[in-house]
Amino acid sequence: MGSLDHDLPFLFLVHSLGNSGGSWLESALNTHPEVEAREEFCWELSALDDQTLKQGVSDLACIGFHVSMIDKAKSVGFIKSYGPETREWGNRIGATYVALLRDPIRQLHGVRRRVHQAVYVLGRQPKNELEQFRAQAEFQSSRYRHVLQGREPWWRLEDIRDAVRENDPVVIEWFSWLTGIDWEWDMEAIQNTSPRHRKAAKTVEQRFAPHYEDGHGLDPRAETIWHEIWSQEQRGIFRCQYGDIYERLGYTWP
Amino acid sequence: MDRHLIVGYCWGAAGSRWLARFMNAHPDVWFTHGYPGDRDKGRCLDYFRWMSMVASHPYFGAIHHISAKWHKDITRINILMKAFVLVRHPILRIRSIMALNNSNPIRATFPGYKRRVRNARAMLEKAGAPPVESGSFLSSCLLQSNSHRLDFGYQLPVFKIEDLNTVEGVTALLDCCWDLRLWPGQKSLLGKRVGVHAGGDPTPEGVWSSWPGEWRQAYRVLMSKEAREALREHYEWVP
Repeated sequence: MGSLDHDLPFLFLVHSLGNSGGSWLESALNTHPEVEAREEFCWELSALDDQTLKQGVSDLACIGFHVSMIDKAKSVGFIKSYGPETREWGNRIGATYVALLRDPIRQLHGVRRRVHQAVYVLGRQPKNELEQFRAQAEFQSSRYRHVLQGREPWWRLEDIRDAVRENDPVVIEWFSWLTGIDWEWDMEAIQNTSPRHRKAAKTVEQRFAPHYEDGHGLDPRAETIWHEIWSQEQRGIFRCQYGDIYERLGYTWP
Repeated sequence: MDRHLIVGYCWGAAGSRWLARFMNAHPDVWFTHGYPGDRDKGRCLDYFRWMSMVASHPYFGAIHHISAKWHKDITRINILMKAFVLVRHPILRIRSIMALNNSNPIRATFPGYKRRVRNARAMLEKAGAPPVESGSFLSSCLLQSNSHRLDFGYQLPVFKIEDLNTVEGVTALLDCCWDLRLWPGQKSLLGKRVGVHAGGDPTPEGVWSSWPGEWRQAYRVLMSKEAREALREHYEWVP
């Protein structure tokens, strides 16, 4: 029998939809000395066939073990655009899984800066701003597709950030569940983590301007496109998940 | 549920990524391409223990390189185990190792390689062979030489990647791995190589004849006689 003198790593996967706070979550999770979270690491597994998916998750597990060995981490997680299929395979090897949601308008603002992703979705270079908006909305919609099926365990970025801001220990409970290890109360360290785009971040009010005031809000033409891409059903489900935030701010859900 | 371990030994550029994909196409198998390396025996054993604990599949395992010495330690884990070795034609393999080295700067500058390449140059000089310009060729050749010495030192079933193109070939492999049945998903992967092998291979003789004379001479100096003899049992033509 060989010796077992190492703690075995715990694996977790976060289905980050892109511009939904994955890098902030990575920083927050990495405040724990025994956690190693890696954002935008490894493959996007959502759209792959079953065999490749199984292989990808297998490779993730293997890399997770290597990471735990190098970084002396007890819990290793990857944050990228994974889908429900990944969750199923991940469950089989004992990984926990959560999807990270973000208010779609805020997220869309982030996605807008990634024209290469729009090209990826459309298969062509957008000709004008509206076409670019359409591509990005399609990209966003496709990434939310799985989550909107309602089968995913999911967190709202806004809830985590609010809880952090309010010193709510529920964050510690959430992180303990996700990473599989006990977190000691160290909210200050989490509060001090900076999102990558903090300077660019604005309030929902600023983003969801009825007109194209700052160049980022939805103008009526864009809103029409958004409605076209996001089905009534999708919007209905999302309203359940995000309607409260908009109501609190006095806005009508788009 | 009884857990069954499957371990493949393979020293790079022999088709291990394809093999992991092939094994994973079986619904009862969870297989990873790689595990913590042979520099940390404890971790390697832990990895298989961890797999045995978390895998929901009855069969699990990995393919990677490991020393023959530590193979013995693995066999002492209290898990039912089958093991095999995956080999590939040496000339085509050197060609692929060089492609990997050249496309991956980190791999190509691995400190161990540099030291070994210096040793190889000294060895060539001692044997009266001409100097070889390409460090990548030398390091690839050394890796090859070492790996074949180990490939045939495990006293385990040896499978040639070239044979795993047919139903008969993979059936023999699966028979060796707890008599697993060939599944349609696996069958669809036959002949579909991945990674550096995806583009298809030229003939070994063609690659050999394209090498400069000093490479061919270096190969003969660096490859051990035992390894070449062992390879000749599996391949009709080995320089």
